[in-house]
Amino acid sequence: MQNHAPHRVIVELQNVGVFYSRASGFMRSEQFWALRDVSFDVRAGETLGIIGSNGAGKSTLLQLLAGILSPSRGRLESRAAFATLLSLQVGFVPNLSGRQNAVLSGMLLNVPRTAIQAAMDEIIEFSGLGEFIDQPVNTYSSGMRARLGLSVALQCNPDLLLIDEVLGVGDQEFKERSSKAIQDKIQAGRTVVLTSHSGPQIRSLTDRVAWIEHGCCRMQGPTAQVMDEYEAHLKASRQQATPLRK
Amino acid sequence: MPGTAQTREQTQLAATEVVAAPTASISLGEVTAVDETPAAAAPIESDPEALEIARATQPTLRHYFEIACFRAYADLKSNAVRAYLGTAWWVLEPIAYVGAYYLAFEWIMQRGGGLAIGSLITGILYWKWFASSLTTGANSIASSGGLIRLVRLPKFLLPLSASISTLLKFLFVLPVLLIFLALTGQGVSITWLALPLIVVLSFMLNTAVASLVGAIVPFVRDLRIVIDNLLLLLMFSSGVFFDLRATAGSRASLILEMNPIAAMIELYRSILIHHEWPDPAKLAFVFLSGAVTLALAWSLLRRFDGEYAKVV
Repeated sequence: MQNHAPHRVIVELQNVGVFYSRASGFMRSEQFWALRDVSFDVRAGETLGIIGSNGAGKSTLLQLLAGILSPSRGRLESRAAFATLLSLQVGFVPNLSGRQNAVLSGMLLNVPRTAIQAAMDEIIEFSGLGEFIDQPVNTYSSGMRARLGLSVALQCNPDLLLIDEVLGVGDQEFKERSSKAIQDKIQAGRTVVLTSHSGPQIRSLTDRVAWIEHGCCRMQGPTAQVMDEYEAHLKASRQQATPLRK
Repeated sequence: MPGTAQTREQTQLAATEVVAAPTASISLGEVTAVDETPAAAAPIESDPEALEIARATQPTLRHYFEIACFRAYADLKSNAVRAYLGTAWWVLEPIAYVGAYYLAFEWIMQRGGGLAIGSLITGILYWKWFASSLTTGANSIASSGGLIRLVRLPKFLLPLSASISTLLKFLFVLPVLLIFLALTGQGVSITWLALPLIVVLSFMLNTAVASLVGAIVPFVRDLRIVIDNLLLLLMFSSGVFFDLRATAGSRASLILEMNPIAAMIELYRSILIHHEWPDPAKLAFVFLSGAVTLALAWSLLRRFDGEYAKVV
């Protein structure tokens, strides 16, 4: 968690909504609102947590902040030159070698080609691929691909880092190493927005939290305050649901 | 952009319940001025430090061009490693292709309706390049959903990458065509020096048409189904199988003269077969057609950049 007070607004959302169109018959479509009304700011240097149940709109919100989606309504203003969603195996081509895929994937994550080539030894070492780096990735196990993907993704240094669940990948040893690497990246003083279902993770990593429910921002504020409300809400929901199951 | 009154949290560090309020559309992801009241906390447009950082870390056009080239290379490499003979096919395929047309039109059909075999193959090879650019470019955005939903990428990269890939394949075909023309009695001429200019112009035209169709297909999927039929119609109205000069003065010639693909084929034939320097009027016509189409495609791709992830 950052101790310095964040101040400068780098992303501002006001009453933002996003809908998807779905075909519903001959020359007909219907709108599905993934986000209905979300307003908050992201400030330089802070770590903002996004919480909410499955289907609340957290992933759509991250895509919006990354500039992948544009809002269907509302106002979104960003001064981040490049916001990156931390994604594994972006643009991987099965027939290319691990080394070539690392370069391509890194460039897609906005890392200059020369920078990714300069960091290749580090990528090989972190991923533990050794000589396999020059083999086509379609000969890799899923764990090897994930390790390479994460090693490349950790090279990106955007103005705004977006993380959809801080998950470790690969075997237990690599999982611990990768979780720690992601947490180090979050705590390195950069601006981060992350989603997580883990209460302890949100409490330990974030400065502020926005609680999204049914596409709307239900509450936002200091982590402890919002998490207390959120966990009380979850507890109340579980208590209401329990007699029904019986 | 229409704007309406906003309800906004003034104190971000205090827990607040958010009040819903309808509002209007907006700018996205870039440092842009908006027609609504600026944020109270820190006006984004007037922050020189932020603008400086933004300029320093903004991906450059060169970076995007490198991505397009790398993806084109990846496409060629992927195609090559799937075959037993690998990269040898990059040379063998055009030889087999020209050989097949030579056999079909010179031996079986006996000169394909009067057009010289060199002229015919020149027209067919350019047409094949254009058609493959169009079909791969048309699907380039619609078939890249996995990538588009993960990273913010200017969408022009996708048809451009497909177009570069087809250009590289054509550059393997071109020497085979030139050798074929030299060996089958057409001879070599100084006008062949204009070939790089014609290839660059073709690449521009192909990329423009591929980008325009690629920009529309994700929203109008039905277009993908009719493209093959449209290509067939276009092929017969582009003078691939006959000489434009033979139609001079007829009603057909008017249609052909308005078709930039027909003009492109005529430019190839004029320098390679007729040994004439390219007609400046035809060069200007193709360039203007390509530039207008490219500008239209570019504006559509920019306008709908944030919409593609919702539909692919």
